[in-house]
Amino acid sequence: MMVWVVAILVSLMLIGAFLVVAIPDLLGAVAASTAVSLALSVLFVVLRAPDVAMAEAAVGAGLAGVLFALALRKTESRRTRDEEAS
Amino acid sequence: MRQFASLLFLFGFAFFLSVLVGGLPFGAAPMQVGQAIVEQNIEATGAANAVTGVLLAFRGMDTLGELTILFVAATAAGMVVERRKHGVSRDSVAGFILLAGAELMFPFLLILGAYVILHGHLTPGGGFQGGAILAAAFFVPFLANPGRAFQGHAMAFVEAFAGATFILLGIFSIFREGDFMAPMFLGTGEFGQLVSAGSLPLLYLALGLKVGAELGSLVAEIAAAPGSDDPLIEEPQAAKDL
Amino acid sequence: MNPEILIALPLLAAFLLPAARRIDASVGIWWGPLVVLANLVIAAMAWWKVQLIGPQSIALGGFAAPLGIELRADHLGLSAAVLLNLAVLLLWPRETPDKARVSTILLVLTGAGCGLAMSADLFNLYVFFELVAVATYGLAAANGKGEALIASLRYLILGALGSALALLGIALVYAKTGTLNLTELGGMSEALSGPAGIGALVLMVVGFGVKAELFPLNNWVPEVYAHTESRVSALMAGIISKLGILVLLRLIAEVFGGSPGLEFLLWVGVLGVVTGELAAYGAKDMRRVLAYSSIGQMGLVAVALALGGETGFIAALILMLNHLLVKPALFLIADAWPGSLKALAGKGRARPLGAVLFVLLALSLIGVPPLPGFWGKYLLLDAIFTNVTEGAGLLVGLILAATVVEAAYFFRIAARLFGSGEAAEESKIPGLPAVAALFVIAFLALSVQTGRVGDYLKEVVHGLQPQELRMAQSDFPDPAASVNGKGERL
Repeated sequence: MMVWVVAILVSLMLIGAFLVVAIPDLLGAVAASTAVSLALSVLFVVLRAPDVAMAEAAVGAGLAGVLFALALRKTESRRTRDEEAS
Repeated sequence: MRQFASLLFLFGFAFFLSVLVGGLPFGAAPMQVGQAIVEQNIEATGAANAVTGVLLAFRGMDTLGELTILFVAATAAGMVVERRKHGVSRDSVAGFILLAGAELMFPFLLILGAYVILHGHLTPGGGFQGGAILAAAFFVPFLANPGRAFQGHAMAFVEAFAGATFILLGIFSIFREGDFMAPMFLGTGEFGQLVSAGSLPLLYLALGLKVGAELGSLVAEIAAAPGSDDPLIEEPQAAKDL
Repeated sequence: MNPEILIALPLLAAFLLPAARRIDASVGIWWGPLVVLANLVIAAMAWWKVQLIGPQSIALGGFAAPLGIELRADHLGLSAAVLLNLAVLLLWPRETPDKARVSTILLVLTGAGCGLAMSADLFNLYVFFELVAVATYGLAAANGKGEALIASLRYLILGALGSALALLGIALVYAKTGTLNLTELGGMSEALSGPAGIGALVLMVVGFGVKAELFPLNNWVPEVYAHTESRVSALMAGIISKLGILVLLRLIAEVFGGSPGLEFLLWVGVLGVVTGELAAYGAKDMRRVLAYSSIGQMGLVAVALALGGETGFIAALILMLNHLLVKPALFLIADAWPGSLKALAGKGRARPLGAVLFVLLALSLIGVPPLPGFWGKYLLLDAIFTNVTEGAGLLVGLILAATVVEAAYFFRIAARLFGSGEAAEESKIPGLPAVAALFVIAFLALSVQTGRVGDYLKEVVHGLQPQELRMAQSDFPDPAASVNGKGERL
C-alpha cells in the first residue's frame, strides 16, 4: 500500500520535473515546478516528516513560485506579452 | 549537439550517484546520532516536537546560519533590484474577487502563521514555516493591489529587533549557563505546555518574525521594482541615502 | 571571552544595520568597519589565549558532540579568523552605490568566515560555507555595474551547483557513518574507504572547490575579478578563496587522510595549475592575468593538500599565506594600470616604486629564492618526491613547466613596464596605495621571518591531528553517553 502511494507521488514529481524542462512557456514551467514541490511535500507527510512537509509546501510550492512569477513579470518585455495575448 | 552533451553528462552523473548510493545500507542507516537525540530530547530540552529540539537546541548554530543565509540573500537581492534609478511599476490592480479574497485571507493567514510559530515546540511547524505563512499574509493583498503602500519601514524594524533577539538570547545564556546559545536557562517546564522547553518558544517567535518580515519585504521590493520596459526616472537625491 | 562571540557579534551587527541606517543614514558608513575592528581585537585575544593554553574544543550550547555542534578554537581556526578580520577591514570596498547593504554583507561574511574557520561539524561547515558563498555573490555585484551583475550571476549558478554537490557528499558521509562530527569521523576512516566515502570526498572537493577556484567549476573567476572593484577582487582572491581550502584541509587532515579519493584532488590541482597558468599567459589585460594566476596558485595548494603529510600541509599553508599577502597587493598596485597589457609600455618609469614592488611580489609567486613562494614550491616538490611513488616525474615536470609559463608572462609584464613607451599621463591613483603598502610590509616580514613562520605552521599542522582532542574526549566513548556533558544541570 505504502509503496504504491510513494510510487505515485514520485512519478508525479518526475512528470512535473520533466515538464519544467519541456514546457517552452516559462510561467508554465514555474507552475510545474511548484507542482513538484507540492507532490514532494505530500511525500514528506506520507514518510512522517510533517515539519519538512510544511516547510516544503510554504517555501517550495508557495513562496518560490511567487518569486519566480514576479521575476518573470518584471523581465518579460511588454511587446512579447502583447504578442502572446493576440 | 549541446543537448546531447548535457544528456550524456546527466546519465553519467546518474550512474555515478547510483554506484555511490548502491553502497549504502538502505533502510537501516546507522543513525546513532538520530537515535540518541530521540531518546534524550525530552529530558534535555523538554520540547514535545523533537525536530524543534534539534533545530534550536542541539544544532542552534545551524539554524542561526540558515536564518542569516536568508537574510543576506534578501539583502543582496535588494541591492541588485533597487538600482540607482527608480521606475514606476505599471502593474494593474487585480479583479474584484481576487482583491476581496486577498483582504479576507489576511486575518486568517495571520492567525495561522502565529499559531504555527508559537506551537513550534509542541506540534509540527515552527519559525521558518510560520514565518513563510506570515509573509504570505502580508504579500498576498499587496500582490492583488500593487499600488497599496507597503510598510517597509516598520518591517525593517521588526526584522532587526527579531534577529537581534535571537542572537541576544544566545549571548544572554553565556552569562547564565556559560555557553553560547544554551537554550535551557529558563528550565524545561511542564512537558507539552505552551510555556515549556526553555527559551525555545522565544527563539522560534524571533525566528518566525524575522523570516516573515524578511520574505514579505523581499517580495514587496521585487514587486515594486520597475519592469524591463517600464520607464526609468531619476531618483531624487534625498531618497538615495535611505 | 568565548570564541563564539566571533560569529555572534558580526551577525548581530548585520541584523541591526538595516534598521539603524533608517534612523541615521551615516551609520551605513562607520558601523561595519567599527564592528569588524572590535571583532579583530576579540579574534586576536582568542588567538593569544590559544598560544598560552593550547587548543580548546567548545560544545555549542552545552550539547557535547556528536549530538551538538563542536567548535575548535585551535591554531588554524583562530589564525584564519584573525587574518580574515584583518583583510576585510583593510579591503573594505569603496566604490559602491549602496554602502549600508555592502556593510551588511561584509559583516555576515566576517561572522560566517570565523565560524567556518572554527567549526568541526560537517553540516555546520556547510552552513557557514553557504553563508560565505551567498555573501560573496552579493559582494561580486556590489559596484552595481552591468558586467559585474552578469559575472555575479554566473558565479551564483556555478556556486549553487557546487553547494548542491557538496551537500550531497555530506549526506553520503552521514548515511554511511551516522555522524557529522569531524573528530568522530576521524575514527571511522575504514567506513569511508569504500566507494561511498570516495565519492563523498570527490563531491565535496568539487563543491567546496568552487570557492577555492579549483579546476572544474572555476570559470567564474576571470569575469568576476575583472569587473569588480579591485579591493573586492583582492578580498576574494586573497582570503575568501582560502576559506574553501580551509574546509578541505580540515577534512583531509582529520577524516580523509590516505583516502584514494585524494588522487582526484591531486589531478584537479594539477589541471588547475596547468590551465590557470596557460590562460594567464594568453590573457590580454592585467586583471585577467592576475585572476588566472590565482587559479594556478590555488591549484598548487590543492596538489599540496592532496599529497598530505606534514610536508604537504605545511607547503599548502605557506603557498596560501604567500598568495594571501601577494595577490591583494598585486590587485591594488595594478589598479594604476587598467586595460590592455599593451598599454603598459613605459608606465613603470612613471611609478618606479609600484612597478618594482609589483615585480618583487610576482617573483615570489613564481618561486624565486629566498622569497616565501620559493619555500612553498620547494616543500611541495619535496612532498611529491617522498609521497608519490608512480608518476612523480610527470607531476614535477608539469608543475615546473607551469612555473616556466608563469615566469614568462610576469617577465613579459615587467619588460613592458620598464620598456620604452611614451611617458604616462598622471592619473589620480597613486603608484602604491596605502593598503597595498601594508600588504607589502607584511609580505617582507614573512620573507625575513620565513623560518619562524614555518615553525608556527608546523605547530598549526600538529594541532590538526586530532589525537590529543580525541583522548580528551574519550571519557565519553559511546555517543549515547555523551549526549550532554552537563546533564546534571538540566
